[in-house]
Amino acid sequence: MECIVCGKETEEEKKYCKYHGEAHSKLYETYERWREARPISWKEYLDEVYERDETGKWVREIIDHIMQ
Amino acid sequence: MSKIMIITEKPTAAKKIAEALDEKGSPKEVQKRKASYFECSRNNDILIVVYALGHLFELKQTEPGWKYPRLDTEWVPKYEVIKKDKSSKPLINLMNKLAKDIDQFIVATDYDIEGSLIGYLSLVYACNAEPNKATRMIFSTLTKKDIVESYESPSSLDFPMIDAGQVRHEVDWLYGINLTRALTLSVKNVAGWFKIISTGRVQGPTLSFVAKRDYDINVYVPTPFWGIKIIGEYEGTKLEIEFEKKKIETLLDADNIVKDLRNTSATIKAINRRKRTQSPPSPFNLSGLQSEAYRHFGFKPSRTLALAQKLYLDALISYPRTSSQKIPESIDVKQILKNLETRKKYSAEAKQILKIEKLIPKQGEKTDPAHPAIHPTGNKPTRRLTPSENKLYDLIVRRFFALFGEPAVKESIRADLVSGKHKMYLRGLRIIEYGWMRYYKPYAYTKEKEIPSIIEGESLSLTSIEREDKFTSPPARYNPSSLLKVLERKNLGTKSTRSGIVDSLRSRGYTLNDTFEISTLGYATLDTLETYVPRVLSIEFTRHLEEEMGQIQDGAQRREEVLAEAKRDLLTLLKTFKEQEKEIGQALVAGLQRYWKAKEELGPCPACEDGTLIIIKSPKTGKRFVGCTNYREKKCEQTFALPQKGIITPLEKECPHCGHIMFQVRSGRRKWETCVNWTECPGRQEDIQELEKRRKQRSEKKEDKK
Repeated sequence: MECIVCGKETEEEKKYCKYHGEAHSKLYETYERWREARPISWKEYLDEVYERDETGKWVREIIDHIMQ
Repeated sequence: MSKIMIITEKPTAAKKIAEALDEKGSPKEVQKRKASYFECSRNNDILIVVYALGHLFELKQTEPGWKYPRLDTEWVPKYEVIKKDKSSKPLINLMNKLAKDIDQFIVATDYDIEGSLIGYLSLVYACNAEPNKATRMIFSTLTKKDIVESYESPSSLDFPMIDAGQVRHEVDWLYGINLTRALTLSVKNVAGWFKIISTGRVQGPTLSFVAKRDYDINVYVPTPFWGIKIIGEYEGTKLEIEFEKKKIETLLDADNIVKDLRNTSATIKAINRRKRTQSPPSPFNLSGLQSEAYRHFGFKPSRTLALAQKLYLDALISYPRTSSQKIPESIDVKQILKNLETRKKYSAEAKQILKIEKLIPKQGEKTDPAHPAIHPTGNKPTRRLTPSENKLYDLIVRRFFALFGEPAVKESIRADLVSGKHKMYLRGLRIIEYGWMRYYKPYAYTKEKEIPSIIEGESLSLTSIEREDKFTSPPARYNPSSLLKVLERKNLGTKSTRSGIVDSLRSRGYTLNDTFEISTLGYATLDTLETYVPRVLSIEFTRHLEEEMGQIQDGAQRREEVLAEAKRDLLTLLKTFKEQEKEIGQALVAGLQRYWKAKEELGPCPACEDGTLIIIKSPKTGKRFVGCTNYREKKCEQTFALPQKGIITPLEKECPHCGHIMFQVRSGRRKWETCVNWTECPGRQEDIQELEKRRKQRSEKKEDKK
């Protein structure tokens, strides 16, 4: 299988390579922390994370992919 | 009357040594074809001072073929290994010829592992001399006094140091050559391309932990938190007040705090004053100097080392490749200060320090048996120093001054304030005694913060309360200086090799910039090694070798045993590699394809929105430009001009002026960011005018010269 974001080879049956896989998990995990901090929808969360300079580039690529 | 040959490491050192030892102070430079030597006389002896240019001999495999494994090596002249090298042959031939009627040999190369090895190899292979009969001059500065003293009382050659040097070269050669060939051939066998993919004993682990930091940054998702910004007022003075918690986890809590504090006042519950003494900094060792030079001037560690080396060869500072943070009693610090006193720039500080009754410099923790900490010699420069050399020299001189200063005394004040259930702090800082900081200006700096005289029980009105929206940040990227510190802390490489390893990550294409952002090639190499031969990346593995090499120097290990063990380990590693060569090659080829693609792809085409902008080299003119991938199908004719000089790196951002894709250009030490539309971009017209002005000035200058 190939990573649907970068085309790198993935471990069997996985959608993402290990780097984008980790970025994907982090993005979902952190949403819970954001929601505890303030009310925010999933869409607003993705927009805000995408705009932040602190956001990692693989996380941004995952957001790009989700948005598509 | 004897004829004595003195072997030095560089022409500048040879000249300094010859000048110091010649009774008249004016040795004769004898030119022989493309090499030269210095001839002088002392105590009725004729001294022949020859020089190497770093290493004149290199390791070469004894078996032919660009294959692996290759485990047996021999020392051969450098020109046999590096075909482009033109300088070593005349020097080796000259040494060989002159050595025939020499009565005594003295090695006077730098007193460290590399220097001792250079001297030994020149002695044995160029001069055919017996090393046991040769003697060694040991000095830490190239001042006349140190040179003469070391000549008058020479030692024997330091064989454990030479062995440690030899084994370091041998082990690094074995790992570097064999692993690089294994990686490169795996690509060649799969795709037929010949692209050097390198790794080495220290490069692999270094890449591994630089990539770990890059990984943490790339998967980072910031989380929000809040702060409270409070401005208070006391007798008409505005004061910045700190809320007790720097990080408030929820928006609701932050808003409630703001609500609670608005239009209130705070009572001063307690005032704590604390005096803190700060001792002078330690004398510079090489890594300390490199770190401080990066902090103040932005010099990369390798640049600092090169500049310090020049200052050493000019006898302005002591030997820079040292781990020591100690100034031993044998160094005449009073004389150095007296010499510096004669220089207008340093006169005031030197005069002040010379008034101290007992001149005892501050000592650091780290030691080095070979050399003291880096310090000025007090000599005046005999040539005009470059601005960079001047900066570094000034830093070294002022740090030396600071060693004699009293501790600095700072007073910090903290007033504890209370408003309702909330606590706040008002902080101030003042310097009571500048001590050593006076001598280390402008490199020692503390921002003082005055607060008015307040009394417990008084109130401050809180005039402004604001909520601050903040986000957590990823770990900081490495810079050349912080990476060097990590290598030192992890005991990887030596003080002489670390800066080269840091640079090699960039030159091999594994990192993209000075912030050590890992390239797709870096990740491809790392992933492959991690999957198939993880030992190559292991810090423990290379550190174990490093310790064993250290033990050779201390006389606790034998060179042959360490080398045999290293070969055994390498063979096992290469066997594992060979078994998986095809898979490794495929993984690297895929990584290389992504790397090349990333290097030439700039982003989506703004004209057709379907194609991708890529960097193209015109087959007719050889000039590069940006074009659309749809050009070949004649669907899009969008092109952009590109600067013809420098390395171009695509950036993942848009131009703030015109919205076009941006890229970075790096040419020599200069680097700048611009957009593909730079010739038309409204925000870059001034830059273009400036560029045209510079071009015009340059061509006018050329005309004038004609």
